[in-house]
Amino acid sequence: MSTKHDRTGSHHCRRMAAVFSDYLDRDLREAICRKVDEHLKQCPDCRLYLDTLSRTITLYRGLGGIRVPKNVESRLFATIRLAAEKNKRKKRATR
Amino acid sequence: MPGDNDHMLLAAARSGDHRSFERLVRNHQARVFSLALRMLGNRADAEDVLQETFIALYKNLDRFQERSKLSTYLYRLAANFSLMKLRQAKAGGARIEPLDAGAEIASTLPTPLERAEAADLRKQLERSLMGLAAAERAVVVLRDVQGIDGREVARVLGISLPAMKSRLHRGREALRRMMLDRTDPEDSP
Repeated sequence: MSTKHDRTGSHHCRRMAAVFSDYLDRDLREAICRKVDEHLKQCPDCRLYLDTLSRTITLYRGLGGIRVPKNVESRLFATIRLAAEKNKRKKRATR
Repeated sequence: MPGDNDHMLLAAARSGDHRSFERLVRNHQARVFSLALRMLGNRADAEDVLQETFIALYKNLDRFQERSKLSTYLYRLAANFSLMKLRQAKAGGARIEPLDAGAEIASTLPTPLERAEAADLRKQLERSLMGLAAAERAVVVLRDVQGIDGREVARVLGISLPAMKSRLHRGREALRRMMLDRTDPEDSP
């Protein structure tokens, strides 16, 4: 992944880059989306910039979940059981 | 649907069925733990947040009225507990470490080489995440890593949608730059 966009981008490019995140999320109004599409056709720097941004997001989307280790899960359930016991005792005491 | 399942389990848990509560925990614990670990980069703190989140749910079972999804509620608790821990750590001068490579990240890659390369990449991605400001990290983790809809992320964090988008944009851009600097050092300004 390489781009020189950061150093050579024009003011217009920088304005476009500000909406690239929404563009990739398909969260832009159609008129703005068309403007971005038109700009991208003419600007290789922005195409490269968008490509590196898109790849970065894809990598993070693929990171995956983290399993809760068994010992952590056991401690969690023990803590919850303790809280449940405490709660029961409290209820009994208020009856 | 998981939401329907949550509704039934919540009702049973409210009436005192402890097993139903444990099933709720099993259904949601990985998402809570992933968020906390990626926010904090430290397993012991992430475990604290995991416990605090589910104890808070247990204590508030009667008060949680299901106006939002259970996952949103849990994410909100976990994000708040994590941000609180980060503030405490900052006040105490503690250094936040990047997530270690030994974290049990789900992986189904076929060859040892691919697995090793993927582990290196994951390590790099996790390190970069820890390089973000906490507010941006929370948004990126929820939106891109956990795959939650933008409006939901804004609700979880109690911020406006434009604020969420702005943090997401800044976070993604910072990560993109970090990735470029690592893969192409001569291209960095």
